[in-house]
Order: sequence, then structure tokens, then C-alpha cells
Amino acid sequence: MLVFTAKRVVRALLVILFATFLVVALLSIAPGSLAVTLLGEEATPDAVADLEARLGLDEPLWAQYVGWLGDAVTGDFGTSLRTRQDVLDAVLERLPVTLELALLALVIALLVSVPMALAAASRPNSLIDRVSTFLASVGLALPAFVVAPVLVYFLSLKAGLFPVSGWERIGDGLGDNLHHALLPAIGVAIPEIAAFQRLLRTDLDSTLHEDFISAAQARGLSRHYVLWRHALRPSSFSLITLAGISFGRLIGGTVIVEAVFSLPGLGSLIAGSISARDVITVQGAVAFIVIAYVVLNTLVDIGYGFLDPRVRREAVR
Amino acid sequence: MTSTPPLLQIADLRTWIATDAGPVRAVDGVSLEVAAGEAVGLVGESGSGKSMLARTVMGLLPDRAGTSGSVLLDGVDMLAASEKARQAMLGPKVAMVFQDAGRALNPVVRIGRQITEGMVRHLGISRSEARERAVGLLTEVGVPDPRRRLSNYPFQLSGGMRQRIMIAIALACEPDLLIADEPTTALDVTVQRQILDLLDRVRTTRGMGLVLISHDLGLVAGRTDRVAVMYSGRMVEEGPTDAVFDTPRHRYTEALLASTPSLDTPRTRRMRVIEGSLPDPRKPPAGCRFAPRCTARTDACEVPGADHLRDGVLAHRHACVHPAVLSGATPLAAVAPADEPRS
Ligand SMILES: Nc1ncnc2c1ncn2[C@@H]1O[C@H](COP(=O)(O)OP(=O)(O)O)[C@@H](O)[C@H]1O
Ligand code: SF4
Ligand SMILES: [Mg+2]
Repeated sequence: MLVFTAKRVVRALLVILFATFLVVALLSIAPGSLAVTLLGEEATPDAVADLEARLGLDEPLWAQYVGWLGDAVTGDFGTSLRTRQDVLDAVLERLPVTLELALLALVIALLVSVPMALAAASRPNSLIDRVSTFLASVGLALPAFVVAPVLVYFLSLKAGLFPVSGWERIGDGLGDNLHHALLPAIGVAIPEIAAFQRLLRTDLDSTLHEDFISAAQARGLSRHYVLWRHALRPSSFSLITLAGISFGRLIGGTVIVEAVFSLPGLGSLIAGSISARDVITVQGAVAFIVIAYVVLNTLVDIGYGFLDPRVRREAVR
Repeated sequence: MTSTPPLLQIADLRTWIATDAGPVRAVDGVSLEVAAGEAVGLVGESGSGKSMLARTVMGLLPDRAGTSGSVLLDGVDMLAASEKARQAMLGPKVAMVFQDAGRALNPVVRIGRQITEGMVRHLGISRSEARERAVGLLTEVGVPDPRRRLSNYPFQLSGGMRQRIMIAIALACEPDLLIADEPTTALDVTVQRQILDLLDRVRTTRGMGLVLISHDLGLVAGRTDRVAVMYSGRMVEEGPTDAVFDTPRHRYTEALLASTPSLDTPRTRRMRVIEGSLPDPRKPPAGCRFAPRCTARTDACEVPGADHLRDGVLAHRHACVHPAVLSGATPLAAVAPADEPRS
């Protein structure tokens, strides 16, 4: 298990190095002088040269990257060109909102999709299977920019169950926080629920044809027990991969929902920085997300080892 | 014969599986009885319906399967019983050992749980008590270092050990009947005999009924009291193992015997292969299903119903129109009587 974990960690570090290099490189490869773009056509050559030096754009790419990396490991992702705020501070300030949203959405998606898939798989072609699979198809077909406003309209405006927009920090009370977070999280979760249900339903179906399921049934174990104890775990490998990928994606991808509900998350930070041409903030935030994404996927990989004893052994061999 | 009803009483059982090309008639009108403590062999080449018969008894059929007839186990009709009532029988009344323990053990569940979960459910004992019993069971089936094995996963054990563990799992709730479906087919020859000997031993010490399924008639000889031969979903011969083995009546049994080398008694008989293959189970021939491959076939064999079971001496029954003669070396059936004298 130690060797297995070490291998995954080394691989993750390599991926992070490569990915952050791309993030830094993109700025230099971008056509035209970035400084000119930032300062406008009428900027003096002195001002342009000054900004280029400050951004390190006058140096070769590898030197730029080494400089960036050196700063980044000490937690210095630069200073926002727009607000003069430290980029890491800006990211960390917004991160809890996005993290909570993504995490809550993921938990909701798993809590809903796993029982849905189990119920569907336990009685193939039954009414419950058809309804569950139909709902999943509908969920998959609905993009967030449709789901979120509809949720707001019905649950907030009509039923008054949730606030229409805004955010309360966890520090200011969990109840209030959840009250604000739940609806956006459901909005984020719905397409994930659909994808999770589909995937798990399919994997369960093939697992249920395995001999070890027949053997478990031959022991007189209840349908419920066989599903949860014997079928769920061997069927959940791709689900866990997908959930890990989804989580990483959600950290950078709750933009629409954050916009609909005016939430101060990472998505709105990046969106705002892009329109303001605040490259340093974009660079820092994207690098941060990349790192978070790789770390998460590595944790998922290592999680496999706990879930499937065979993986541990194969990796050590 | 006796006044006590048999442990297992299968009557006119039919099991079919709906497919796009029509129903597969996997078991097609089979009757079979197993008395308490009796060992019965069920043989026939691959595809003849042995596993489907076993799965029907256990209620482990695919989604698109249908059944008719009855399967009485200790007086309970397993085909008509509710799911709960049937599950209550599985473990304490009947248990099954599968062909390939490598596939029949859950790869991600520890051995200990797979042995104990049935006991916890059926015997109403605690998990720790079940673990103690599991240690005893593993010792009984010859698994060394049983306490440590409980926390192993199946992949950490050899094929032979896995099959021993399957047997321990099957014995856990002290079933009256054990169905072993090709329990040694996936194993090395040396391990095969150990497993068969183990089955013999636990059966006699526990006084348990056994249905030993194999495609190899030689394998069940000497280990069973009676043997039943299946062909294309039909029962073609049934009787005391020695009688069927020494004087096969049905032409299929005769051919099967000639084509299989025995594990127990090295046979001097020359190996013959049965020409042809099983008929399409969706469109089996009327009359005797072996007719297309039989060298003794006549028109009488193809009359619908020609393959009903005929009583013979000492409960040795067969479904052949031109049975092999009881003794002597008369090769073929031109002169064989159409029916047998009844005892
Ligand atoms: N899941 C299934 N779907 C359709 N046909 C099946 C299925 N399982 C078995 N069969 C068919 O049922 C017949 C009997 O199979 P089986 O009981 O497995 O034979 P045996 O155990 O004697 O080798 C065969 O014709 C086989 O092709
Ligand atoms: S009934 Fe006829 S075809 Fe069938 S095995 Fe006997 S002799 Fe052959
Ligand atoms: Mg079989």
C-alpha cells in the first residue's frame, strides 16, 4: 500500500508540473504583447516595457516558469492587476463557497443516485427501473442554465422555500448557510445525479450477472443485502472515478450557478477576471484549480486501493 | 418405495429461458428424487441442462426464465414459495457449490464475511459466534491456518483452497442437501480428487444428501448411490450407479461412457467421441432427442413421446426405444425388444 501510494503521489507531482507549465506558457504564447493588450494601444513604450518586466515576459519561457513555480511553492501566485489583491488570498476567500457548493452537490448526487440505481437494478424493467432511468435521462438533458432558473422560480419565488440569491458563510451559522447553499447545490447536482445513476445502473447490471451474486443469493441472503453488500462495491469503481472527476470539474465549473444565484465563488472570480483581463488572477486561480483537481484524482486513485484489494496487490507487483 | 417422502422431489419440471429466437427449453419435463442422506449423480454433456436444473431448485434463474412442474424440498414447493420462504430454505435446507470458486466468491468481500453472513441470517447467532463456527468449518474442510484466512480476500488463496472455502460456506447452515455443480471442473487433476474426497467425507459425517453434477460419468461412479443422465433437457436414464455404469441401457449413456476416461477406475475401454452435437434447445427433435446422433436409431425413435422413461429391473429406468442389451456383447439393436420386461 505504501509503494502504491508513493507511485500515485509521484505521478501526481509530474502531472501538476506539466499542467502548471502549460498555464504559465499560455500567457507567453498568446498572440500580441500582453502588456500592450493590458495597457491599451496608446500606452508609452516605457510603460509597456515596465509591465513586461514586472510580469517577467521579457525572460525566456523556462525562466518564467521557474520563477513562477518558485513563487507558487511559497504560496505567492502574484498580485491581481485589477484589485491589487494577493491572488492566493482572493482564491482562498472564494474557495470555501465553491468547495461547499461542489461538495454539497456531490453528496446530494451520490445520496440520490446510488439508491436510485440500486432500486432500478434490483428489479430490471420494472416500473421503478423505468421511472428511475427516465428521470436520469431528463436530468442529463437539462443544462444548469435551464435547471437553476427553474429551481429559483418554483422553489424560491413561488414556494418561498429558499432565498432567491446570496450567500451566508458557514461561520455565521450552519442553518443559514445551508439555507442559502442548498438550492444552488441541487442545481449543480441534478446533471450529476443523472450521470451517476446511469453509470452505476449499467455497472450494477453487469455485476448482478456474476457468479458471486448467484452464490450470495444461494445463501438465502435478502435481495437488499445482496445489493448493498455484494453488488454495490464491485460496481462502484467507475462511479468513484466519475465522482472524483466531477468534483474537480465542479470546483472550476459552477460558474453558471454562481452567476444565477450571485454567489461569491471561484467561478465568478475567474469569470470576472477574464472580462477584466486580469491575467495574473486567472493564471493563479486556474493553476490552483488544476492542482486541486490532480490532488483529488490522486486521492480517488488511492481510494481504489482501499476499495478493491486486488488493485493494491497489482500495483505493488 | 418408503413411506417417508423424499428430501427433494422434482416432478415434471420444465425450465425455459425466453430469447429473441424463441424459448430455450433448458429443462424439459424432468422428474428426480433424492432421499435424505442419499448421493445422486447428475451427468450429461455440457449444455444438457444440469446447471439450469440446479439453479431452478435454488431459484437462481435469469430474468427471462419461466418454470412449470414442482420442486418439493422437505415439503416446500420452491417454485411456488414466496421469496422470503424460499430464502429461508437456502442455507439450512439446501446449499450449492459452484463450478468455479474463483468466480463464485466475491472478490472484494473478505472470506470471513462470506462464510458468516448466512449463519448470522439463518441461525440468529452473533457475528463473533459465527466467526468461531467459521474457524471450525474451515478446519473441517482442511483449510490450514483458518483464523487468518477469515480476513483474506479470495485472490490471496489458491483455486483448491477457494473451492474448500466454497464448501465451508455451503456447509455453514448445516444443509440437508448439497448441490455441487461441477465442483472440480475448474481445478487441477490432483486437486480434483482431494475436493471429491472432501465432499464424500463431509457428506457421510453429516448424513447430508448430495447431488453431484458432472459432465463426466466416470467422476460420479463410486461416489454416488444413484445416477441420473440428462440429454438436451430430458432425463434419459436413471438408476443405481453401478447398474448404470456397468450396464448402460440408453444409447446416449452408453456412448457417454465410452467417450469419457474415468478419474477413479482407469478404464481400458477405447475412447470414442460421440459424433455430432446437442440439438438446438429451441427446436428439439420430436421423440428421442439423441436420434440424430444415434447409430441404433429407427423410425420408432422419432415418434413423439418415444423417449418416456421405461421401468427396468431394480429401479433402473431408461428412455430408449432400442436399449443396449443387459449382458453379452450383442452390438446393436436390430433385434432388441421395444420394451423391457418389468420386474
Ligand atoms: N442465461 C441463459 N440464457 C439463455 N440460454 C441459456 C442460459 N443459460 C443456459 N442456457 C441454455 O440452457 C441449456 C442448458 O444449459 P446448462 O444448464 O448450463 O447446461 P449444463 O449445465 O448441463 O452444461 C443450454 O442450451 C444453454 O445454452
Ligand atoms: S431411442 Fe432410438 S435414437 Fe434414441 S437412443 Fe434409443 S435407439 Fe437411439
Ligand atoms: Mg453446467
